[in-house]
Amino acid sequence: MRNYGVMAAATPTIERAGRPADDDVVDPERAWITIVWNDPVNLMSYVTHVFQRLFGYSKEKATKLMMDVHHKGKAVVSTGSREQMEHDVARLHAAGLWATLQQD
Amino acid sequence: MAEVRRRAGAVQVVLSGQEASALSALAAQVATLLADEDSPTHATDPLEAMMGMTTEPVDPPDDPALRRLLPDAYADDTMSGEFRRLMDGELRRQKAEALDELHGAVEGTGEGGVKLRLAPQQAETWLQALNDIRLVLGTRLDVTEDLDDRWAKLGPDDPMAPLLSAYEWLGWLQESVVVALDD
Repeated sequence: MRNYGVMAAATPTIERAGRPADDDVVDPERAWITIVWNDPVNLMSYVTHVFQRLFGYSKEKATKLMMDVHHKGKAVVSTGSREQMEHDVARLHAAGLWATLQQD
Repeated sequence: MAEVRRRAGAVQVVLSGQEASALSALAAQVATLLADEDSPTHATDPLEAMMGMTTEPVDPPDDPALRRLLPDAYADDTMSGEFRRLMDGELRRQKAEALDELHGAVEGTGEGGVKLRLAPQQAETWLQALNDIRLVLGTRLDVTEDLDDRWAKLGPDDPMAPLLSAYEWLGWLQESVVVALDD
């Protein structure tokens, strides 16, 4: 969390370093999404707290997303560019949540 | 017995000597796990060490507990490896820092225990560290959401019983800090 700037600065390097081999399946028109997956360890209160703190969501919105993770097994917690979603996933991993990104 | 409450804009945590020493040991163990010298981002090249990254894609850790602390960012292995190449060192460093901060606050408190006043930012760091310790214990114990069920499968003399007790206690502590912080 405290190293926000470092991670943000590191992100564009992914572009310059070249994308993985299956780059051609990436459609530039489609948005990217960050998904949080259910796991048996993370506390419901903590997950809600993390959604509020990282994304600035209201208690209501954060609680609804947490309940989706809990009951449906996953929830889309943010949408945007690939770089933004990589940043969000990195922050969620730092908080100990199980998160991945993919194209919508 | 431990006590957590909101007090004058801070989170006050009172721990017995035994609780503080258990917490300190667990934080140190998880930090050691993260500092694994075999990790691909534990670079020997000075430039790589400075940047905290390697030039090769990084495979996920073999240890399931470590893999839960450092999960895949993509379903695709190649994309995940590339993400790890850039992020693994930094993520390990962040987690180790949080664990060190927790460890430093509770180590060597003696039998009398300790009363701590955590500023909100410190309390956030604690939450992160407590969560990582629980992720490691939870993975080792193979817990499900139903802890009673996990207890039922353990006999009272099972060597895993103290770990499961610690796991439950840490869950209570983490929950209490979240509640106090959001109060």
